[in-house]
Amino acid sequence: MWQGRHNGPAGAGNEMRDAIAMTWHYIAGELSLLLEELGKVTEDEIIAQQICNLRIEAETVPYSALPDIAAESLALANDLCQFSLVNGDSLVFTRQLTVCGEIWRFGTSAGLLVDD
Amino acid sequence: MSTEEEQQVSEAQIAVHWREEELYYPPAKFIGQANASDPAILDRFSEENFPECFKEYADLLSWDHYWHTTLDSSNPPFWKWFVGGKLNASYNCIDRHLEKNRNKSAILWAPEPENEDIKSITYQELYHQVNEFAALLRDFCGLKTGDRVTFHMPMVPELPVSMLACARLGVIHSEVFAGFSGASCGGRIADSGSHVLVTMDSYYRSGDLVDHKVKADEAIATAHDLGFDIDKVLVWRRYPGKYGSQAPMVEGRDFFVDEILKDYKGKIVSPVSMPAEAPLFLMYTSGSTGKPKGCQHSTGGYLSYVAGTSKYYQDIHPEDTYWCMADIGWITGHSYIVYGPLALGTTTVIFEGVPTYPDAGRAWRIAERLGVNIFHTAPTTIRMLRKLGPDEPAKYNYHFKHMTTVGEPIEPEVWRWYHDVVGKSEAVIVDTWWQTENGGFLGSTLPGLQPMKPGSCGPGVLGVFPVIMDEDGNEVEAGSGRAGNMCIRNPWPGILQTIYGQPERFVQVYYEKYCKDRNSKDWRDWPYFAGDGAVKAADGYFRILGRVDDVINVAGHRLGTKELESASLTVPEIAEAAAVPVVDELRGRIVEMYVSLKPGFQPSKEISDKVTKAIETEIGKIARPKNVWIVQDMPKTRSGKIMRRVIAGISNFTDAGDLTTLANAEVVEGIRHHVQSEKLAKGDVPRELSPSEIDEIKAFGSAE
Repeated sequence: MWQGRHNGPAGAGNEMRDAIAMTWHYIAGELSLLLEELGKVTEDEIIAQQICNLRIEAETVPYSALPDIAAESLALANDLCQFSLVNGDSLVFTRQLTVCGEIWRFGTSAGLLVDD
Repeated sequence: MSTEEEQQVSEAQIAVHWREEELYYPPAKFIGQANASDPAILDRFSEENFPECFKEYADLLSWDHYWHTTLDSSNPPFWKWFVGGKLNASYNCIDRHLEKNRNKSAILWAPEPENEDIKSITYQELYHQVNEFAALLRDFCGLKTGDRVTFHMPMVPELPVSMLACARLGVIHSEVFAGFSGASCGGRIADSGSHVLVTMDSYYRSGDLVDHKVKADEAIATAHDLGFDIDKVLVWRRYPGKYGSQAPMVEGRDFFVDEILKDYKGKIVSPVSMPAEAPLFLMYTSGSTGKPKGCQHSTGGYLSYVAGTSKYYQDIHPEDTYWCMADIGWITGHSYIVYGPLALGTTTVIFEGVPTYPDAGRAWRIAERLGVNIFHTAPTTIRMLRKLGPDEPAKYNYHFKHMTTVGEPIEPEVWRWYHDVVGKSEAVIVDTWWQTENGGFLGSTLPGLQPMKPGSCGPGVLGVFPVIMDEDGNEVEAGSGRAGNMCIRNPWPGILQTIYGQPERFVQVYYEKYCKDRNSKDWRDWPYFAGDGAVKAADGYFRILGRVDDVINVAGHRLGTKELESASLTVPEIAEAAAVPVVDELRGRIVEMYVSLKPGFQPSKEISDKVTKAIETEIGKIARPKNVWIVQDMPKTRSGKIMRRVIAGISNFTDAGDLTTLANAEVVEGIRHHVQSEKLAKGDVPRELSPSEIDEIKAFGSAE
């Protein structure tokens, strides 16, 4: 499974710690965009709502939560791919896999995810 | 080994696993043309010349009225720079360049579709576009100096046009990253009190024309729920005359900019002469409470600072073609795509899309096509480009003289790829450290004067005096190898003025920790707490370690949990590792390691000893764990995050806290029994913890 890499920025739970490097601002935004793309390839309403909630989290919660959100995003993308595969929906599967790959690539490049 | 020797070895190694890297010196060709090539500049910006040294930055601008006080520190920490001075940011970025450079490109815009033409906007054309839009904002929207306007705009030239139009009127702009949802935009609209939203119908990203206007409706609904209503929505169209969104236009509220602008053709708006300390823009950034905070940046201090750092650290000359591949929605884009480069009259490149679409060569094709010679991006992007196309840069005929990496530590191996492959071993690199709140760079090498060191950002920039402080406010000496909290001893012109509408929070977040005397009017008593951990080498270069609470403080030595866990994972049998602090009478905190094994291995003392040995070898004896607990499985969330607070609670015999978010809560009791029974048998039970210690243990890992 994928795991959030929890050595990124900190800051949760303490106002004294929430000065933020601007790169994390950028990373939160990109993650939000990838979640938007994931939402577009989701037909299941419940999962779509989960993705929507994750997106709001990415945009508003402390940056320290981003690794967890990235890992959750990837897990959801993986579930969607599996579902499409089982149902033989190759067109949707391909689109989902593309987004899944983008999340993984961005997440690992940004240090949010490790692939163990 | 004595304790002293132990500290010397361990702290240096604890900092990060990167060894001290060799220095890279700038090529003579670069030095020969550099804006800062005379070492005398270092003396001019020495501490004894603070704060007057920043006159040199302010003198890069055109002032309507000169200032009488460079730094007013009478109401700390609400510093006022260049008091009495008046200027206009839009005038400084456009009008003053017209006399000599009216037909020069101010902006080169690269649309994402490669079959669309590059758009060049000269300073003359930018002047007209900004004036016409300023007239529209003033006359159609009724905006006046001091009002706030929210933008939700993608990477199109209309964004800097809108920013500069606001600046021309003294209207405070607040750009929200276009990729953010409408709901987030709505929250920022409400917080800033904007009555006008400027947006775009659509834009390209990764090959798709994204419907963007739909988010405006969501934003307005969210703002309404928060008790705030938008009067007007101005919608730029990606293709003027052709609406690229499915969202309906609301009559009386939504307006196409290209249609209304016809009424303002040729209008000229006199730039409003603004006090130096007047706010220029708000930049929202997430805080720890969940409510984003609006960092308020000034006109005179901010613009001086980004002009100065662009000149000396980006080495921007007016004849350069400069490309910062960030998004204007972030502070990097405000400072180093729009305000800094345009204040210096250079050509700035704006790219609509993502650098990896349609392939990893896209960025280098743009650089080649436009003759970019200064390039600026973030380590995350560098890693992505390296991963997707490690050999792509060599295929394109571009030549950078200077490259920037911004915002997070870059691994030396990635730095070397950036230098050798992207920069073709010709370009200097500045590895810059700063934050949204800072306005501009705080740590960097001066590219023509100071050698580069992979993995280190360099010393404090001109006129900025960083210091590493321990938890008690004592300075950590350079070369001691000890890590601490990165602080800045002095104010600088680019620093945020306040958190919009929350001055108490501003003081608390950035100054309370190390303020020596809250009644003092002396800036020396108000060091700025940056929130990053760092180490200062003997040569004065800083190595940024990341956030300050990713550490366990053992006898004053800050041990990074990442380093402890990485060291444990060098043992072949170990699958996962987690480091936690345990309260200790003698050393304050000690480390305990929790590890799980790969399939096929059984717990044994031999494996525990290997982990201890690995930590001693990789980090030092100071980091030796008191116990290594081999567990069958770690308590984790569904996403795989190890809940360190749970095991920290077990090790400290305190409440493990809420377990409902665990995917495998059943493992907790097994771990508790195993660990606590063994500790009880050894008489190894911590004393009763104080409330603050309990809070610390409960909060451990919440940063992760």
